[in-house]
Amino acid sequence: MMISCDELTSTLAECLDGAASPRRARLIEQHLEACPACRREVENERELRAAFALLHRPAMPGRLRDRILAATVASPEGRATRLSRRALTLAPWRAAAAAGGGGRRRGGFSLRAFAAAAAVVVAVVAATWFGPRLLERTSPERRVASAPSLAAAPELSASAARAQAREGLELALRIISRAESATLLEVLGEDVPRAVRSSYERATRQGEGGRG
Amino acid sequence: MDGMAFREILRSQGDRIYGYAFHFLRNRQDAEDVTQEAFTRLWRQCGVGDDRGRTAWLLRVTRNLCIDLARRRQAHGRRLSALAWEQEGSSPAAAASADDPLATAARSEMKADLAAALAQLPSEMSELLLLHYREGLTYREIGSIVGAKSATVKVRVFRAREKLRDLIESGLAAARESREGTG
Repeated sequence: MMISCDELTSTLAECLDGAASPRRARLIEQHLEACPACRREVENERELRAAFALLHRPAMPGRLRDRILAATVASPEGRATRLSRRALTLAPWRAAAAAGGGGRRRGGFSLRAFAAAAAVVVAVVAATWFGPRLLERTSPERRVASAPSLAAAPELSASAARAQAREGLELALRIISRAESATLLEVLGEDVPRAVRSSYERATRQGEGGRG
Repeated sequence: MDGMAFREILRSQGDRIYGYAFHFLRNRQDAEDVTQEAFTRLWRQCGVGDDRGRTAWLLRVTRNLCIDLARRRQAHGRRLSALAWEQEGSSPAAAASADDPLATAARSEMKADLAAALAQLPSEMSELLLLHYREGLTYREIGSIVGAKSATVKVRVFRAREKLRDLIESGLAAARESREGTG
């Protein structure tokens, strides 16, 4: 099978990068042997690429690199946000598989599997919402004032808000897998209330004892 | 994608993304802010496709951030000074040159002609040429970045290349005339 001139010029960048598969590379070679117009085109492309490679490309300043690393891999908040996103995309399917005995059954997903997946989504959203607030090292009063949904309910006291946050986190820790729970606890570190941590550890010990 | 993989992507793609943002915005601080935001989003995404897919994704996010910022600042459309990148300092890979002085001089002259011609092109055209010839992206990949069909990108790149050629030729003719006038 021969490739057309159009097909070749559309993927010239891949051809020149050597990114084409061996089979495709052979087809390109065959085409170029038979087509002087495309040979010229490939030569033009090579020359232009060589010329453009001479142009200066501004180098990313070192301080910017440090700033990016500080805001991502080195930032507990960045890691927490990322973790909750990851949990949001992964955990529902794991939970569905566990609850539904593999997830997909004849005739589609089971209701139980969907319920489990939905519960995980709710739990992770709760953790995403309450997690950053737990990370804020501010007074309970300020914490309540800074949360839009909590501020919208003026009758909610600081202690009630804290209890809600704790419940959200406990729910998330119970539902997501043990490996992810451990990571979440590690990321949040000392920001996890002692009561939540010991409740989680108690549940884990019981789970291990029950299986053993 | 773990921290080490992210550091590697930042090392290999940092200059490319910053350079693209700088080409768009013509402002060092704005380019830094946009680059930081693009990489932060990549980190939060927990990995995006393979190498080529990730490059296209990063460029697309950077472009959208640049457009948003440029709209706010009304900066897009200004032409890039041919000297702007020279003043900005180049990446070590781009600065590497051959040891042959004649080849270096020829390259240097070619680079100056090309930079001057690119600076005269409308920014939409120079952007496409840089993405295709310097970043090595396919028409399809560019299409996914600029939001156009690959056939459309192909036609636009072809037109931009013709325009660039005209500008280089007229620049060379002007330089010859000026040499003959002074000689």
